[in-house]
This record gives sequence, C-alpha cells and structure tokens, in this order.
Amino acid sequence: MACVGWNGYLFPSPVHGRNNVTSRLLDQPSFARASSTSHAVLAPVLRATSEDQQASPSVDVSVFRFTLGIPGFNDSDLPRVLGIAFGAILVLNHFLTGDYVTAAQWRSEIIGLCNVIFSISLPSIGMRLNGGGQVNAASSMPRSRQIFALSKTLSSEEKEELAWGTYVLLKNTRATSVVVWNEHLICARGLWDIPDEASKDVLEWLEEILRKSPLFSSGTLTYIPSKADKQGWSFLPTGTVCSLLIPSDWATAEETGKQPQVTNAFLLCLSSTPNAFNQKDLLWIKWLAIKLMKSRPLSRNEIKA
Amino acid sequence: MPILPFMKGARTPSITCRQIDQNSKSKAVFNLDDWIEKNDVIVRVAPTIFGGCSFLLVIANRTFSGIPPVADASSAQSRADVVALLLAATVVLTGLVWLSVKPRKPIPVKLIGVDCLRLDSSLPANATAEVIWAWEALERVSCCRSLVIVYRGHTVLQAGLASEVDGEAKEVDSSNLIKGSLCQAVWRSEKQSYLANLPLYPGRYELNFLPSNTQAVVLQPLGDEGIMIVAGDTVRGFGQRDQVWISSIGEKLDATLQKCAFSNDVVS
Repeated sequence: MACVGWNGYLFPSPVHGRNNVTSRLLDQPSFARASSTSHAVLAPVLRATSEDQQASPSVDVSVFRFTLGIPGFNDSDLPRVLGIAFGAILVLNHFLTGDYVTAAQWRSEIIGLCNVIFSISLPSIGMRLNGGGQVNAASSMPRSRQIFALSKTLSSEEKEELAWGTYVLLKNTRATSVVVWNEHLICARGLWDIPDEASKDVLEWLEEILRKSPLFSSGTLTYIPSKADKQGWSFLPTGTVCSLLIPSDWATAEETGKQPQVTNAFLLCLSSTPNAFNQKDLLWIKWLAIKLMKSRPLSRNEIKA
Repeated sequence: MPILPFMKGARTPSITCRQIDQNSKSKAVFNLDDWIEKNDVIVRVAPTIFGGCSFLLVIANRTFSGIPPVADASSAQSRADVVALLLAATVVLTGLVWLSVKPRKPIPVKLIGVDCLRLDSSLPANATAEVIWAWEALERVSCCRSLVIVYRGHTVLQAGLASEVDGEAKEVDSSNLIKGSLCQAVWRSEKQSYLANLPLYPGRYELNFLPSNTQAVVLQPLGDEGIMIVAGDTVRGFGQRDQVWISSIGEKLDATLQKCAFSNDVVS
C-alpha cells in the first residue's frame, strides 16, 4: 500500500531540510504561476558601452518609456485605458452630432474605432511578448484532485529524489500531472481524477490502468502536443490535452551514445495546456528523467518474498 | 575518482520525438503564445505600422473630403479627427516602446580557457553523481560552459572551462571567494543573482578562475553555506526557464551537500 497525501502533504515525511527547503518539496506547487507583469521603466535606458562591439545604431525611444507612478496601476494597461476613454469620447461625439453624420465623419470614426479595439488588445499581446499568458491549470481541471503518492518499496533517498523531481516538474513546467514508472508505478503526483473506491491505494489503481493503455508499451519518446484526450486513454485526468512520455533508456542512450537497453522505466508528464512543452522544456525534462530513473527500486513481489 | 554513470556524449541542442499524428479531420490547435513567440518581430512592429497607417488615413480623409484644414472645436468632424489621431498616436507610441525593449539576439562567444574537472574526493558516491549530473545537465541544456560549486569553504566541483595559469586550469580560491562582495550579497539576499552581462560588472574580478571573456554568470546560493556559480558564453544567455531550473537544482544540491563531510583534498 502506498503512502498517499491528499491536498499536498505526504505523511510521514522522510525528507528533512534546512529551513524546510526539502520539506517544501512535498508541498504542492502553485499552478497559478503569475506571469511577470511588465512595467514601463524609468528613463534613462541603459545604453550599450563602447566595449559592446555588436552595438548597432538605433533610434533612442527611451523618452517614450515612462511610468505614471500610480500605486496599484500597471502601466502596461495604459493603452487599454486610453483606448476605452477615447472610444467613449468618439461614441459620445457621434451621438451629439445630430441627425446628419457626414461620410467623412463616419470614416474617421471607423478608423478611430479600429484603433480603440487595437489599443484594448495591446496589453494582452504585450504580456505574451514578455512570456506571460500561462493558463491556470487548476481552473481547467475542476474534477481533478491534488495527489502525491509514493511507492512504499522506495528507500528514503529515492523518495527524496522523486519528491524533488516531481516538484520541480510541476513547478518549472506546465505539467499538471506526473507519473514515474520504474518496473512498476513508483510515483504519481499532481492533478488526477481518483475515484472514491481507489482512494485507499491510488498507485495500485493507476498502475492497473496504465498497464492497459497503449502508451505503456510505447517504448519511444512520445509527445502529443494537443488533443491527447481524444486518444481514449482512461487514465488521463479530465482536461488533459497534452502528453509527454520519456522512456529512461532512450534518454540515457541519447546522452551516452550507447544502444538503448530495454528497460521498463519512463516518465510521463501531462498538461491541460496545449503545446505545453517547448524545446527547452523537453531538454530539461529529459535530463530530469535520467536522474530520476537511474536506480531500480525493489518490486512488490521482491519485498513480499 | 569514482566511475561516473554519465559519460560525455555529443551535445544534443535539440530533441526529436515521435509526435502522434492528429486526427485528420481535426485541425491542430492554434497556440497564440507560440505564434507570437515565433513572429516576435512582426508583432512588435505591427502597432507602429497600424497606428501610422491610421494617422495617414485620417489626414487623407480630411484632405480629400474637401474639409478646410482648420481645427474647429464646434465641428463634429474635427472632434472625431482629433480623437482618431490621438488613438493612432497611442498605438504608435506603444509600438515604439515594444521595439525599444526588443531584446537583441544573443551571440555565443568562444570562451578562452582550459578544460578541467575537479571534484572533492570526500564526496560520497551519491553526492558525486548528483553534482556531475547537475554539471552535465546545465552544460547540455543551457549556455553554461563552467560550473563551480563551493560549500562550507570547500570547492566541491570545478568543471568546464577555467582561466589558465602555467598551462593548468586556475584553482578556485574558495576562502577569498566566499569573503567577496558577490557571494556575501547573494547570501544576504538569499536569492539567485543573475549577472547577464558580466563584463559590465566591476565585481567580476572576484571570479578570476572563470575564463576572462565569460559573458554571463548566475550566482545561486546553496542555503547559507554554499554557492553555485554557473558561467555562460552568451550575454543574457540564461533565460527565465534556465534560471528557474538552476534555482531548483541549487535547492537539491544544498539538501544533498549538507549531509556530507568535506576533506581538504581535491581530485582532478
């Protein structure tokens, strides 16, 4: 029977850390990762020094970068505010004109309205340019519950390793659910749809379902960027659309140049965000897979023998 | 030195995988974030062009409509034109701000130094494997070309390129390093410090064991007893994701190293 933590905490904790660093590893990472809000910076802008040989001449527009200094007001929302304000004036002007509106006025107002719509959308586009726009995973998976299950066959060092590894996967990427498989299911963490009858042994329930899925016998790195829920896999939590499976033998063979050995170990990451994992994410997850699956824990049968 | 499980292999800057083909009847999901990331230049220029065109259209509309070029507040046409021009100016200015903050594409620099791999001999096997894993992962995934880990005044690891002294890689003077302003500042703040353009920082002389033309450095505190110095070959080369992963690796290394006892010997 596995140790199961509901809503965040594994009991008892095998991990002890300074200032609760590693004990924090057992906490559930926040899925609502706040995107970095961009604030317009104060002039002057840091200019390239003469040592920068790659400097190219460009127009200095730092004078346009300013801040209103209004507490609680994000300066990047200024175009939206101005767009709404001027749009309201434009509409008001139209209705105050009277019965007859000239064609020229109509044209000016249409151009103005197009700029209003564009101004209102600029802050959202700007946020995406700065790397924001992340989806709150928890809100898109309302039926799922946070779990953290580790196999009891693991040593305390292995539990610490898996606790850290799954924690950073959920924190540093858009993964919402993680499974670590090494001969059998040794760890499941994140948002999962666990029926009440399976609450006593989550790992056993999940292992049985995973064994039946075609993904289990894949053997190759498999990335489904979107519509993973259309594959008909019963183990997928509701709302999951992206799936990444990394076999450990593949990951290790890529780095060592050796032929991949057939081992029954893989790392499975699921996400509710389409195209959740970009090239950089895949590389980091691959290296994490190498670390997490380098040891083979005892199977349940070996423990019972 | 113990046999390490990770052998050096060819760097894999990209990753290929088998993508399950989408249902032929369904279209691929359009990801706005990815589209904007791929078309960064177009998106940044778009407001300037749109606002500029709007500006010209308003002027042209007024010119070719036979309206006298006089700003008359009592005229609804003039008011509409003024508001439209102000809106166009707002869009243009936002576009210019986006263009001014557009990051220059980083160019990697060939660092001048000597390859080395030094490990503290007193490290147990699991700590050695973890430290080596951290180095291999950082080197393969990011622009890291040198990694130094100092813990409790001992140089736990010096890997990658180092500055040269008499044909050998310069050793890390850990006692001076931890007394220096860079380390002290990092420990005081308890946060990662990212020196994105190292040549601009006067304190770079404390890191004289790194290649002289190191471009960027991430200083990651390992609790309050250690520091991890990740040096890269590209200005602003460590992205947000890299910094987050470096922070996570630092936490794990701190948890592992605090259980170790260190000797004074270093194995090369």
